[in-house]
Amino acid sequence: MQITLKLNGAPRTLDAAPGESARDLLRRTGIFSVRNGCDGQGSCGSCAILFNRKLVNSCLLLAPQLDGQEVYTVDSLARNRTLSAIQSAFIDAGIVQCGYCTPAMLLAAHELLDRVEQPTRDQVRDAMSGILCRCTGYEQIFAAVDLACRRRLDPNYKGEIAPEFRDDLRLVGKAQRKVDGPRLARGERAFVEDMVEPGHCHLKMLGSPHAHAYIRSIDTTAAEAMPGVVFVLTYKNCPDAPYNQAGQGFPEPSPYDRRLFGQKMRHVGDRVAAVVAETPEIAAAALATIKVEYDVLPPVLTIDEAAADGAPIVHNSEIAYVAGAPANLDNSGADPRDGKIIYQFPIHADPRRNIAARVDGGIGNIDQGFADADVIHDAVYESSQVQCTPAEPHVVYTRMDGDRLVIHASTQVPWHIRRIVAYILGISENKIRVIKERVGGGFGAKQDIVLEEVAAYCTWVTGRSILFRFDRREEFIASRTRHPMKIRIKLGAKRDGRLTAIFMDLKANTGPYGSHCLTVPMNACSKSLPLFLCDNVRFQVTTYYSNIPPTGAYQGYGAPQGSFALQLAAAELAAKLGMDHREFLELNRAREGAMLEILRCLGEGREGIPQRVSSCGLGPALEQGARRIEWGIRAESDDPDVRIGKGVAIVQQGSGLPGLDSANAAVMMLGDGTFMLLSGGADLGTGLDTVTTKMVAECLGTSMADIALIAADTDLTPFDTGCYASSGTYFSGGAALNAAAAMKVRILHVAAELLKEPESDLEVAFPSTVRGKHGSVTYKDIAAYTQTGTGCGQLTATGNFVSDKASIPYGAHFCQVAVNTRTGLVTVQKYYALQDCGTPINPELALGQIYGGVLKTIGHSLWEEMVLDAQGRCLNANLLDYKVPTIGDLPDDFRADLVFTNDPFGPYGSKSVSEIACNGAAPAIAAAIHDAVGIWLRRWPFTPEKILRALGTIAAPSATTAADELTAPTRAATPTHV
Amino acid sequence: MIKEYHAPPTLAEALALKQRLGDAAVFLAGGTEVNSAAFPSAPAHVISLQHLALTAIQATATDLIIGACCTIQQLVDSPAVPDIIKAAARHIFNRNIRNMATIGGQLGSNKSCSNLLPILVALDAAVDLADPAGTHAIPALEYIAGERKELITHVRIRTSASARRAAVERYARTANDISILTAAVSLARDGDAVISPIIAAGGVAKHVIRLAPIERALDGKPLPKRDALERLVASRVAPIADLRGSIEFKRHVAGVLVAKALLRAYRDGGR
Repeated sequence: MQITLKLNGAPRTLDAAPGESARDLLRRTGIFSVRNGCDGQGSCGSCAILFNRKLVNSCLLLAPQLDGQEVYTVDSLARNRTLSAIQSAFIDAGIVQCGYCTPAMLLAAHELLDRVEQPTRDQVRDAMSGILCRCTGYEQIFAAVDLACRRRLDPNYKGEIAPEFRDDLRLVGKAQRKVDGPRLARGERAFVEDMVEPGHCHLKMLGSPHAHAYIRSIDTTAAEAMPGVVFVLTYKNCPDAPYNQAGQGFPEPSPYDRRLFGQKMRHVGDRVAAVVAETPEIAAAALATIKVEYDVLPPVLTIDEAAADGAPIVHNSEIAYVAGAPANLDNSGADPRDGKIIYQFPIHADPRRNIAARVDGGIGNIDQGFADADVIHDAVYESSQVQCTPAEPHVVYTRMDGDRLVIHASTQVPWHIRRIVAYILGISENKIRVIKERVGGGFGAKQDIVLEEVAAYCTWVTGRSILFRFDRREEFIASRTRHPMKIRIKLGAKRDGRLTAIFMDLKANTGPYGSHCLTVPMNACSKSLPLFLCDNVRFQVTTYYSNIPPTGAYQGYGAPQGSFALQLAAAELAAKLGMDHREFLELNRAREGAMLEILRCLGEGREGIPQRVSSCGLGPALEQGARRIEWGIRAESDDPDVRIGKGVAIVQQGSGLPGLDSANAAVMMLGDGTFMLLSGGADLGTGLDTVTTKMVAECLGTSMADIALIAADTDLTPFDTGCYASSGTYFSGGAALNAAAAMKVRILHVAAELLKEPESDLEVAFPSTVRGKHGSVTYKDIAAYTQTGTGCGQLTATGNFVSDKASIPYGAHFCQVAVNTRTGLVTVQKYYALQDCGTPINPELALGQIYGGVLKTIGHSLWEEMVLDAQGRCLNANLLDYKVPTIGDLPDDFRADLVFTNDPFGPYGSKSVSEIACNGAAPAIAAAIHDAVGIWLRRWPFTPEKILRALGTIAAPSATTAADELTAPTRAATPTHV
Repeated sequence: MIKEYHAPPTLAEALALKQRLGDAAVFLAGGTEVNSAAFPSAPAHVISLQHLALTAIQATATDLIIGACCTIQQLVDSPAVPDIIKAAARHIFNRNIRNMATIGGQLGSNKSCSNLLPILVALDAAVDLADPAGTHAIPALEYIAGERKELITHVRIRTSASARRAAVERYARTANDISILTAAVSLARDGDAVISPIIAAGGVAKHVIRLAPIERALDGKPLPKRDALERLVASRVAPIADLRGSIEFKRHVAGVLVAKALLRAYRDGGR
């Protein structure tokens, strides 16, 4: 049917299908800014439009409803290419991270400011109430709206956006417009789904309905015969190449324990068959015709079930080692239907006992340490499974370009994708090009190759361009989640509070495959234990296979779980000692210059590198935070049912993986003296592209506009291990800076020739000039000189960054919570995150990383939890029933602060800031709940029901949990809102 | 799969269409339910109500008449709508949804977790139902309990009902979560005595219900103390366990919520 509407001010007549959503129609019309985060459920708001001047979700409108109406999208805000006041304000305030929900936020702000001239905080909250954002933690929206109001009156208004650091530097440490901000704020083509061309095919995956089963038979003949079906892939016709989906440096510690498709199903949603078809409808219809018979096995869901004697074996596979095979390797009991496992090197696995990996280690004498203790605390801490929930689910677009395969990916690891796909396809890496598009949130989930390799294989076989996109349910059950952990902590201390011994016995649940099965649990130790200076430390780690949805990397990478256990145990020990918790932390904390010997035992599958603490802002962070929250002064509520408490935790992370990570960059001078920067760094919305650009501009004495960036394209830019382990600023930034420094050397060399002065007398000066004692020459003149037929050739330089140092970022988190003893509801009234990331390169974006990390983990602490039934089916695999925080869930007083240190090793004194803020919320909130009502909650999330049971308001927990009592029909997810 | 989109210009045509198409067609107001991927059935036909002029809010001497296609945001913004209804409407946190969802859709989808239905019941609202034979009004509670399917054209709230003491409460994990439990009460007072209380609750049964035995127990007497009220309510509701909580948890919270609403209405009129 034909409909007529006014679209962004222009009359349009469009063909609409009666059942098509308005979102789909708009995208077909070339409006890319209406995104899709919830597959038409209406729960994310990424597809928002202004419909007759009201903000609505276009996925919930039928296209014909637009007939005769007026629609505005973000595409209407910029005048030509000039940003509106609102757009520029949002970028400058640091609220644009991945940019997937940015168009919706901008429209909401636009609608608000048309309605209210000077909105209050409540009005801003209300305007943004329908938009889910996982990156930013929302807090900077308030400043952005305020900035927009001022800019509407005075377009040149700058204001104070973020604190500034490093007076000695021009750009570093000062807020500068995020380089990809304008493109994202204009809602232009940027993401993988925006890159697809007409005529592409769609891939849909049939997922296993059983958590643990063998495929007895599978019949795909009807699907293959269906008109429009291009290809069907199952375990029967896929390559027999064991691999792991973890995007880690080769050789990986994660076991090669899967194939593209296996005969054994190890989780609900595990791959049964892929159909490539001309349309998504045909692909879905074809999937429905595939007949599968299963031999269903009992599922293994928990650590205890996996460890039990006689437990069903998740991987009864044939085992092989590339190096270091144990002498007693025995494959006699292996079931061929389970496939193979290849270990690159030993990780002390024992799959027949469901053990995916093991490691232990320590320093000093732990027994003596406990013998010397006056007080001992010993308890077990547990974390539930939580999902990364990037706004943009996993998506890939693959196509052939001549005889080469091109992969448009939303990924943190372009080079690992290329390597793993080349290995599975049995082709060389130079046949593959991976282009990282803008990433709509990654958070670790996109460190793994969870769908790219299937689409790549199908394109390689069929020659067809293929779009493969997870829906939100698949994102929950088949991408990546935080490993559930069960961590026993035993601490010993002298009466004066000094720690004498720390013992950490960590059990982790890796789920169906061993992605990151050694390294995430190890990181839970290596990013928590070194916070305390103690001579006697011991840890042991055991990771189990099970049939829960897959786990993997998630911002923090085990540190949130480890930190929760150790920091809360420290709070409990301090209470036992009768000591102020903050004083206990101050007494035992890491300090600048301290040698962290424990890290020798905590390498990722090889010997680790002990580190001396090169810079440490813990002292000032603890002091400033305590002052701000009025530590030691009890707050009272007017409501007699409400008790208020305060809590604290100290946190750390790393800055990439010393001895493992490698980053590279190249700089080229162009004919007018401007530069191209080619960086391998894969910005996943965090602002890495702005970091690398800024570092190069700072070093070369240019403006940022003089540096044009191409990043994370395996054809065009040099190798980078990827954006994970908080490596971006340190490694990819370091490589860009090293390339710029090498370029500077070349520039000075040529300038010396031109100026006839010794190089030692020359220096680069802003803007784009070399100054000597007697004369000066511009980059433009240098470029002209070098690029003529008589010159020395275009100036190019490369830089590599590897390091045996991993400067540790530190921080202290303080919070104040109100616990309603009648309802069990916890309100976070105040949350202060004080972070030392060395020199903050982009302070406004660093703050955004902190707000985002904190709010995510407030979510994990209070609301988020994947709930599985007894068969391993996830009951809340959608954004209505799994509660990602919205702007309505922010702490009343939420503040991130940057505690300055100048690190001697990081580029321009920087350290990481991308993960660390995830580590404080759970222990700080749990400690605050104890301070309020006297209960220790040792399993996140701290739900009202758990609190009421712990308080004795409702009966103590029975042997079964609430979820266990449920029968299947009543457990169906609650339908929908309103 | 929706095959045809109808946008009839008159109520009579809309009703005739529905009569002809039967269960193959659904009425479409805001679309937050019918168009959502979570909507359980996939009708072949939708009949849009957009041209039927059901979006007015009109106050007469005795009634407030709200068109069925009024959005929840219209209720929030309209000066004619009583504050107690606005308060319930604001419990739908998501403004995008408030801009789309309608009062008629709230009734039509008839969900136990609705934030708006309890106050409509507590104010003894009526709904105008239309079928080809004509229009008639029935109490909102009857519509809800009877799982009626006729087209709602208007919701009527008596001015006298809006003048009663009333309060609304909701319990949800997060700002934007589905309400686990909701409560709305209205009552009059004669000295210390509670007169003719109406207590509506959501989340304790398949649909929003009135807690009639508790109403009877309270009627004509001074309001009991909070603890006693909480126990009374908790003992009389039968919620089901689901993702959001166990039975005993929900019973407890239902008691807390209803007692709080009653006390607020009783003491300060809920304002």
